[in-house]
Amino acid sequence: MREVEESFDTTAAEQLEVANSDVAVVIESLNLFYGDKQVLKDINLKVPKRGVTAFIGPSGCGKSTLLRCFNRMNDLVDDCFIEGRIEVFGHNVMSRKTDINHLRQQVGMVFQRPNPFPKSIFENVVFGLRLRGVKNQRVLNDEAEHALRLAGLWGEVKDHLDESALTLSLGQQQRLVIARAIAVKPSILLLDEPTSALDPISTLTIEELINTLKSEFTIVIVTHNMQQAARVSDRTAFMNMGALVEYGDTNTLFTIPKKKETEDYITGRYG
Amino acid sequence: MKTFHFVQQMMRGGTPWVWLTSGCISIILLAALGLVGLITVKGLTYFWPQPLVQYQMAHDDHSINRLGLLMATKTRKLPHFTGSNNALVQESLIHYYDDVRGRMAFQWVDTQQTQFQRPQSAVVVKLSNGQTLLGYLTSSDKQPLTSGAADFETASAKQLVPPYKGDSVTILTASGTPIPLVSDVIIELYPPNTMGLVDKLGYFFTHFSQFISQGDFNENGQKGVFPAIFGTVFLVFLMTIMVAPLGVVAAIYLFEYAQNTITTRIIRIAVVNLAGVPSIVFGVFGLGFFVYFIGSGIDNAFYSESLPNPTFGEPGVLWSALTMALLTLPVVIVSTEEGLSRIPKNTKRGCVALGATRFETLYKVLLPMASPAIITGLILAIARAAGEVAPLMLVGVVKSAPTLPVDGTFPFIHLDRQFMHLGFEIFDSGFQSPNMDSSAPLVYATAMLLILVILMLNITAVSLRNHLSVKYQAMLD
Repeated sequence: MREVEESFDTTAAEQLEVANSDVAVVIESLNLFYGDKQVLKDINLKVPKRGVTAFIGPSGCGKSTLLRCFNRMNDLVDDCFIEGRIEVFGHNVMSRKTDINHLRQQVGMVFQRPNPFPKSIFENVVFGLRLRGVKNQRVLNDEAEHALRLAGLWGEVKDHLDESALTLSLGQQQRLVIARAIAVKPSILLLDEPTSALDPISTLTIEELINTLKSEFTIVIVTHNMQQAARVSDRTAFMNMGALVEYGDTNTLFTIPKKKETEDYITGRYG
Repeated sequence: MKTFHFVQQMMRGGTPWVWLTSGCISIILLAALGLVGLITVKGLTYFWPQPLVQYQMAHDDHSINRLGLLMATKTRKLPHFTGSNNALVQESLIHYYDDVRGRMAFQWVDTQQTQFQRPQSAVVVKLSNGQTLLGYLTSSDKQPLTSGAADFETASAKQLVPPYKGDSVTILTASGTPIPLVSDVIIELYPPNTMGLVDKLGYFFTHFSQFISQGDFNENGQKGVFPAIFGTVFLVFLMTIMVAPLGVVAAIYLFEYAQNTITTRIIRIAVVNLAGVPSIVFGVFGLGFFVYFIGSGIDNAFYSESLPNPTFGEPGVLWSALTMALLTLPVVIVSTEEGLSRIPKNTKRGCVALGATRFETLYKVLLPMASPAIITGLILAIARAAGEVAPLMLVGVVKSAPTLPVDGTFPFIHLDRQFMHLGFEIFDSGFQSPNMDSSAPLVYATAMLLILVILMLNITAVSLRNHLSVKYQAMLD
C-alpha cells in the first residue's frame, strides 16, 4: 500500500498533499473536448480550503477552461463535452441532479473584463441577493455595505450608490464585480485573469484585495502574469497543452521546479 | 503632367469621396424636402379661401352669368387634332354649384377668352342640409350690395359665424334668382373676395381644425378626416401591441434557446424573406385565414345567435391589426435578435455566474439591454404599418364607417368593426372620384396629415428609445 502511494507521488496531481477534510474541490481524470478538439487531458487536482491557488501557463493551455469547470460555466459552450469527476465540497457537480444555479451561488466567478450590469452600483451588488429572493431592504442595504467594504470600495462609492455602475473606472468596476460575487457569500471565488484589463495601480489594489479575502474564501485565480501568481498565491499549478504539469507550493514551484517544462516557462525560455 | 499629379493627389486625399458622399446626401435631402414641401403647400391650400369669380359663358344661343370658385389655373398644350399646332391654352378650374340643388360641379374655362370679375359682394353660403350656394348678399330691396361699404362690413363680420337667429338673408344668384334664407339654415357665410389676410387665416384655421376633428358627414357639409386619423392611429397601436410580444418572444427563442441547426437557419431565412413578400399577399392571407377561417369559427362558436349576420367573420379592425402584425413581424424579430446579439457575452456570463437561470438572465439583464433595439424594430414596424394600404382594403378598411372602433357603448372597444384609414382616404378621394383635378387638394391635404401622423408616432417611439438608450448605451460601446 505504501509503495503504491509512493509511485503516485511522482504524478502532478499528488504533489500537494491535502487532508480530505480540508479539500474544497477535487478533480479526477477530467477530460474536456470542444467538438473534436481535446482541451483538457486527464487532469487530477485537489484544491484545499482557504488560501489562493493560481493556475499559470501559456495562452491556450486550458487554464481558464479548467477554472470554468468548477462552476460548470462550460455549459454555455454548445459543443463542449466533459468526462471525469469534479467534486465541490464532496458533491459531484457533474451529476445531472446538481442544481447548477445553486452551485454557481456557492462558486462565484469574476471575469477578465469587468462586467457590471447597466444598473446602479447598489443594484449591481445586490443582484445575486435579489436572485435568491431577498426582498428586505434593510438586509439588502447591510449586505451591500458589507460586500462593498470587503471589496474595499465602500469609501469610494458610499455617497453615490444610486449612480450607474458604468460611471466607475475599470479598476473600480472590477472591485464592484468582486463585491457582487462575494455578496451572495460563496465559498469559492474563481478569478479568471481579473487584472489583465487593468492598469498597474488597479492591479495592485485587486491583489491586495485578494490577500484580504483569502482568509474567508477559497480563491482560485487564473493569471498569465507569473509575478502576480508568485505574489498572491499559496499554491500554483502550471499547465501546458491541456495537461497539468506541476502543482505545488508557490515558493517551491517558482524556486525549485521539479519539471523541466516548468522551469523553462518560469525562466522565460518557453516558446 | 502637373494636372495629373494634382488629380492623383486629390484622389489619395479622399476629397472626391467627401464630395460624392455629401452629394448623395444632398440629393436625398432635396428629394425628401421637395416631397414634404410639395405635399404641405398643396395640402394647406385646401383650407385657404379661394376667390369667387363671375364670368359669362355661352349657353345655347344666349350667354349666362355664372359665379364660381377659382380653384386653379394651368397651361396645357392643345392636342394635335384640333389643328392648332402646339398652341398653348391657359385654363382655370372653376367649382360652381347648381342653383337648384346646390351640388358641386366643375368646369375648365379658357382664361384668355373669358373675362373674370371678382365681385365684392359675392358670398359663399353653406347650408345645414349640406348644400352650398354662391351668390350676392342683397339688402332688403334685393339689389346687390356692390359698394355699400357700411353694409358690407356687417357681412364681413358675419363670416364664419352663422347670422343671428331670426334674421333672414336674401341671396341673389348669378342668374338673378333671389333666394331668401332664414339664418337658422345658414352654417357659414363668407365673402372670399373682400376678406383680409387675418380673415383668411381665421378661415384657414377653422377649416383645418374642422378637417382634422370632424367626421365624414359633419353638420356643416365640410369633409373631415377625424375617423380616418383615429382609425390609422388605433390600427397602429393595436398592431404594435400584437407584434411586440410576438416578435420579441420569437427572437428570444431563435437567439437563446434554439440550437444552431439547419432548421433554425431555414427559419431565419424564412423570417427575412417574409419581409419581402408583397403586402397585398398578406392581405389575401388575412382575408382567407383570419376573416374567413378564424373569424367564422369565432362566429360559429360564440355568436351563433346572430348568424347569418357575421360578427367577427367579416373584415374588421382586429383582423387588420393582425395582418399588419404579421407583415411587420420580420422587422421586429430581426432587430430584436440583433439587439440581443450586440450585448457582450461577458455581461451575460457575469449574470449566469451569479446563479441566475436562463430566464432570469434574459428577463433581468438581456431584455432591458436590448430594449432600445427592440424599440427601433417597432419604429420601423410602425412606419411601415402606418403607410400600408393595400392589405387593409381586403381585411377591414372602408370608405366611410358609421362608427369609430372605440365608443361609449359596452364593451367600448369594438374590434369587429370596420374602420377608416388615411391611406385609403388618399386612394379613394384621389383615384375613385370623378374628377381628379378637383380632388387633388383634398388628396394633398390627406397625404400631409398621414405624413404628420406617421411623424408623430415615430417621434413618440424615438423619444422612448432615446430615453432607454441613455441607460444602456455606455454598455454597448
